[in-house]
Amino acid sequence: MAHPRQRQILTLALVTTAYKTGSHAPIRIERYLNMAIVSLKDVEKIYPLGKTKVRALGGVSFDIEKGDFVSIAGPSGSGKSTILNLIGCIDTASSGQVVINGVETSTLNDKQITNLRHEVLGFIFQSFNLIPVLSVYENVEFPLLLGKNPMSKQETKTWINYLIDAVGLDKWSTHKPNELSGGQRQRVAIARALATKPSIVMADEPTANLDSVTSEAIIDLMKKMNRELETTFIFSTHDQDIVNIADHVIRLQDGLVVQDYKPSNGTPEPASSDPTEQVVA
Amino acid sequence: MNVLWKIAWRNLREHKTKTLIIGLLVAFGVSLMVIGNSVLESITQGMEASFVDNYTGDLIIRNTYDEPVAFIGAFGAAPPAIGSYTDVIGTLDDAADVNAYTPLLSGIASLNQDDEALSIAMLWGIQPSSYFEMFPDKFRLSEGRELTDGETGIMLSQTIVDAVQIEHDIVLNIGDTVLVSGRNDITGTKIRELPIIGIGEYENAAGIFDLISLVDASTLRALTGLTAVQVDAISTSTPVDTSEDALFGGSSISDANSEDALFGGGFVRDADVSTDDAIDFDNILGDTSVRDQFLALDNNAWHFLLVDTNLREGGLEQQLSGLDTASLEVETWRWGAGVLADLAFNLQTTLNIIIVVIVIVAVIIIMNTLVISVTERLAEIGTIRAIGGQKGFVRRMIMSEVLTITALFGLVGIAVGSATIGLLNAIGLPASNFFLQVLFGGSTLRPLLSISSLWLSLGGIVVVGVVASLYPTSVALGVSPVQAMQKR
Repeated sequence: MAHPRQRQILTLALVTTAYKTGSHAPIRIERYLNMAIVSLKDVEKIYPLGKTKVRALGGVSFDIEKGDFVSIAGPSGSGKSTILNLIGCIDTASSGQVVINGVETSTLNDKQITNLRHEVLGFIFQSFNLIPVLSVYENVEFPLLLGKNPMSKQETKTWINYLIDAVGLDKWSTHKPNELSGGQRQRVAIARALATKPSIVMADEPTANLDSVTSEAIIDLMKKMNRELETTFIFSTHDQDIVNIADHVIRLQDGLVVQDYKPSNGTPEPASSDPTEQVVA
Repeated sequence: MNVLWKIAWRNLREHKTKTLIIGLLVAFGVSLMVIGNSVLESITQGMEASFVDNYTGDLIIRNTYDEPVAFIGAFGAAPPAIGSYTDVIGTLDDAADVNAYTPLLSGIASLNQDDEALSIAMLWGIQPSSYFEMFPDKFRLSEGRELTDGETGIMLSQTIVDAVQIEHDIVLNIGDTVLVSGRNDITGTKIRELPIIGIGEYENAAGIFDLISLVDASTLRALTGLTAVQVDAISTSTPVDTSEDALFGGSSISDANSEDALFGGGFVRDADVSTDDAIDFDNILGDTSVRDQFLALDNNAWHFLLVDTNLREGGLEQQLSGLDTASLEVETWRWGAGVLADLAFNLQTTLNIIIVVIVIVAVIIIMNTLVISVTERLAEIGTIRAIGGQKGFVRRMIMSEVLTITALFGLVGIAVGSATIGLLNAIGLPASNFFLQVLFGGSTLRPLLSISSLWLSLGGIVVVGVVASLYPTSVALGVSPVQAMQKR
């Protein structure tokens, strides 16, 4: 049973998130007393492929706690990107529940879900996806221009410069993406993902297009930002070396969670979703 | 700078080829609109000013007629004379908004001298005092003087004088006489001998208008058959005795079929003819008063009343409402110009159709180019949507690009069009043929930049931009944020 003060703070946080995203879905505080910032319950995703249907996810359930550095691992086609799309609210589940920061995403309309993405989520893409005509500074600032920005002009400038400095690109802030290396571009993407001070940052195979040294540097950077800003990082990867530094690993195979564990706890734990469909390593 | 305009501007710079394709199309269409509309507006404004100032005044009053009638003889027959002329001018005299008016007759006749047909002339019969007061110095004299009230004579067209000299080697001078012959259905062919009072022509007259000569009204009434009876028959239906007795005198042909009856028992003998005395034609022909009445001209017979007024058509019709307005019509210069005005307005319509076609083609090309541009940027648009950009932001982003390119190149088009008009104004647009001379109102047109065409062009740019961006915008709005996750 949570302390009343803890319940009050959590309720306030959930109401604030619901207000910011415009959600009218009922707030179920009990579900979040364990501080799960992301919760998937029996999530299925089926893609139509001509006359047949392909089941990308088959009843996946897991929770991610705030501040976790989460690796969603698995081979190609295992459902990593599908899960990331669902958590990132850029795709919808065929069935089941996806709850982000206390908000049931299936109840939101397009405008509300866009607000949720803007306020709560940050994205780092495998192909960086920077706006080619904007400079490093402008790219990092860009998400703040897409919605309400609570910071003043000066605060914004200071914050953007801090982020650029934090990712080691202070000398490159006026350069365009095509003047940067792959690693530098991904650093810009990381800074951009953090610009709106999101609770969760999604990273879809962020090191796939980078060499091993740069990959390591990028992961270190994400880990650093995770520690400093207490931002939850969820990234998909099939690189075991990168999986090893995560403090929460969710391993997928054929659309099912086969491992869901925290390395700090020692041995991998069985998956929290339907145990009959999980393979415990 | 707002991030939308920043992205729009930089994207246009980044994709120079695409920008140039769309931009040049927009600039071409806009410059065509500016040049075409300015030239045509100059033509119609010039034509209006020329007609109002030189030929028609602000409004024309005429009698109604079931068949097509025209102001200029070459374009058709004149309408019947104004039936209630004295009442109409009484009303015009009392109307506050009528500055001046003058009556006019219109006809066509051939000029002859010494049994040689010289030329066809379009004649306007005028009341000199009021005509030259309302149109002072419009008929520019190169020789001679203006007609005066009550004087019989002709102010001959300089063009005709020149043509006669070239074609017939005859030099017509002031004081010479010419025979003017006209034919009408009432009195048949009539010939009048007229002294040349003046030689000249209307300013910038071209085509048909340099053939107009001015004559005294009585002469033209005689040539066009505007006799008192004919006029009365139309306007008041005055009963006229048209019996043979009345027309040809007391000896009725029906009285007898004999030669004696026809010509009298002894035509020559009975006629009391004496070689010593003058022949008594009255006795021979009997009473000719009715015939005289038929041949007598009506001094109030006029085809038109040209009015200098601030009123519009409806306003003048209102002023005339107390009269028998059913038989009167009020026309503008455009009716007076007849087929010439129709030609100018048809040209404008044709140009507008061409512009509409160009606009449609431009919209299709711009739309296709933008759709390609959008499909090339699916990941970018998907990213914007994924990181929190609403659909409205994407819509505004596309619109900003379209409006930037259309406004930018639209202004280029306006500048090019304006410069071209300035150049045409400086060097003049030569009228290479008869129709152009008529349209231009002279041998050269110096077009002026039309402000309305500028506004029209700017409006057109916005419409083209908005319409052309509708489909690409809908394609962009259909881009899912998942597109950002597509591996490249």
